[in-house]
Amino acid sequence: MNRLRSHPINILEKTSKYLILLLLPILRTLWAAIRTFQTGEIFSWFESVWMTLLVVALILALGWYGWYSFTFSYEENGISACRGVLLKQKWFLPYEQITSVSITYPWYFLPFRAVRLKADTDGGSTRTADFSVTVVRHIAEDILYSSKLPFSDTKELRHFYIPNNWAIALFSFLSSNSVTGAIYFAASVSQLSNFVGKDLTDRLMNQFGTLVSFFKFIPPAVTVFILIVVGTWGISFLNNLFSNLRFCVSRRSDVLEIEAGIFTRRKISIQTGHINALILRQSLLTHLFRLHSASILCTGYGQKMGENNMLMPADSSHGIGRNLAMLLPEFPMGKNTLRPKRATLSRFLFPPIMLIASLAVLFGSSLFFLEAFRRTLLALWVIAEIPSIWWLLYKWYAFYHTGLGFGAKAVSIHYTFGFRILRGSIPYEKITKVVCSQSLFQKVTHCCNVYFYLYGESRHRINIMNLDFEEVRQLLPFPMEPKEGKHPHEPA
Amino acid sequence: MNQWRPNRKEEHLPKTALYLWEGLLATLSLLFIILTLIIFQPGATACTVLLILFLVLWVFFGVVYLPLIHATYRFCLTETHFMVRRGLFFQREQWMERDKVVYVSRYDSPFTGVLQITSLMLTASGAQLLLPSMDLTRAKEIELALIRTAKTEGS
Repeated sequence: MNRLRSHPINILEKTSKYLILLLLPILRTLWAAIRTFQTGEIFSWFESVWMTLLVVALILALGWYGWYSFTFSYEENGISACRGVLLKQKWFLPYEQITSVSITYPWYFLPFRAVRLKADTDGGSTRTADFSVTVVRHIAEDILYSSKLPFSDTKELRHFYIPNNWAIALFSFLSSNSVTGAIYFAASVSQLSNFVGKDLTDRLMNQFGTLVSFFKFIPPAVTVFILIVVGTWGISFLNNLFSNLRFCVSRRSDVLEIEAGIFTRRKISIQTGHINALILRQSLLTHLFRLHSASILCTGYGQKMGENNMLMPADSSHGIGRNLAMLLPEFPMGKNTLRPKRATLSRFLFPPIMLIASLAVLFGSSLFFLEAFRRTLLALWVIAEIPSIWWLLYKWYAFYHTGLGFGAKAVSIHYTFGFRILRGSIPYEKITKVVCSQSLFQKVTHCCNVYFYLYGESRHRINIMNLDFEEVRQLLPFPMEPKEGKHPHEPA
Repeated sequence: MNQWRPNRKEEHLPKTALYLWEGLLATLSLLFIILTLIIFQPGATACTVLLILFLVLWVFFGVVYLPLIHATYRFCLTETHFMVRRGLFFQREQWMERDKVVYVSRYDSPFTGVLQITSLMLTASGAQLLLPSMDLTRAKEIELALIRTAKTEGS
């Protein structure tokens, strides 16, 4: 097959971060050019701007070199790529080894009919995809089709799961956090000052000050804190919502296809054999409403900043079980065989109780010494204690939730991480290492932590805390291999 | 492990690889000598000391180190595994299962056409194995063999 090149827009894409820095000098040069062409003093114009033109030409030449030196072709068995002119790197990705192929349709590429294509495998760099290119739309769709053709029988029935928009909004609501929003906000403000100058940014900040003074009944420091948290969370929520709306997942043979996004649409094709684990997530709040969201661990899907590895945004226990049986029957969810003993309850509750007590001591002593800031300190104390009490409730629940179950083909895991309640299913062949560790304090209560290391491009570790050490030693099957029929430790 | 270890047929790197390494070392050394002569005044103590140092390093690496590295570098492709043994003072043997290889990359330099030398990088999940300066024909054979293994395992 003929060697192909990426879309010429790739030259601008590669150089855009450098050209953005030169945007103002370029605009000034162009403005000066228009003025000098009117007066006819072209030589004097060239004398003043030759350096800017040279730098821009150099950046564009480097971009052109990057574009020219990268060629690729797609064949019946895989994708072959070549990078470099003098030092050439040639590599071939067989379709069997490709875990996921994704196409992103950014709205700003629509007039050029260009899309971004990425193909990733379980090997190579964790930061970048093994094959990434900006190409004409029909080529990307051809590659996506070719990559799933060996694993997808077109005669077979295609199962669809399309969640309603309320479920997506709920998922976006729960998965949004202030840190991500703050990053987007900081990046936008810094870009804004680059484009429109410092004056407008300063005026924006003054408006923010006026807004803070509007809430007179709350101390200014607390108002600023709340506004920042709520504002940045809002940005993160909108970003999540727009990237997840019109979500659709379908399964045909061994291929899972996911589509999502409203302005920038994404299409991802995943080989089910390369999925390393299925995880169901809940928070304490969604647990009260019996809502779950399902996600998958697969190289190349939802591992970059601003992306998520969602499979089902939000559904009831019954709904999620029924749809998972249709979409991923290879990942059964079993019940716990191993659970923490009652004596280990203190190990779950001790950290949040200590935090609550420490905060009480800290703010109590601060009130004694800083009487003038009484209102602010009390408000901050309340703000700090709310998540601590929430953490205590959550840890209480974690004690009853944590555990391990052994199925014929997969391990069922029940664990907690951060403020999330998680359940998962890991096929035995995807577990690369199991570590059982006991700290000095855990020796007293005869418990231990069990770590599961998963197969994949990057290191992924799952920690099941405070299980009974003797039970783990007796029941944990070594080596972890799929068993024919029923597993000896599988509950009836 | 003992089942596949005795059956291996180890291979060496081609002689041209050593010539390439020696050539690159000579170029690098000459570059350093020229830079020293430009930066320092010829005949000055610093210049003489640096020139002698470069000469000694050149002799050590060119005459002793690189030929020994070349002589001790071994690789072999068995039915199930790929092995690389390297190192002079601290020898290291690396084994990678053939069916665990995800993809193979080949690095061609401007000398590939003339010297028929190339480098191979085998990538597996969480591991990479580099084979520098291999014979081009053999590299292509290994590349094909490993890709075929991957295909058979995957399908």
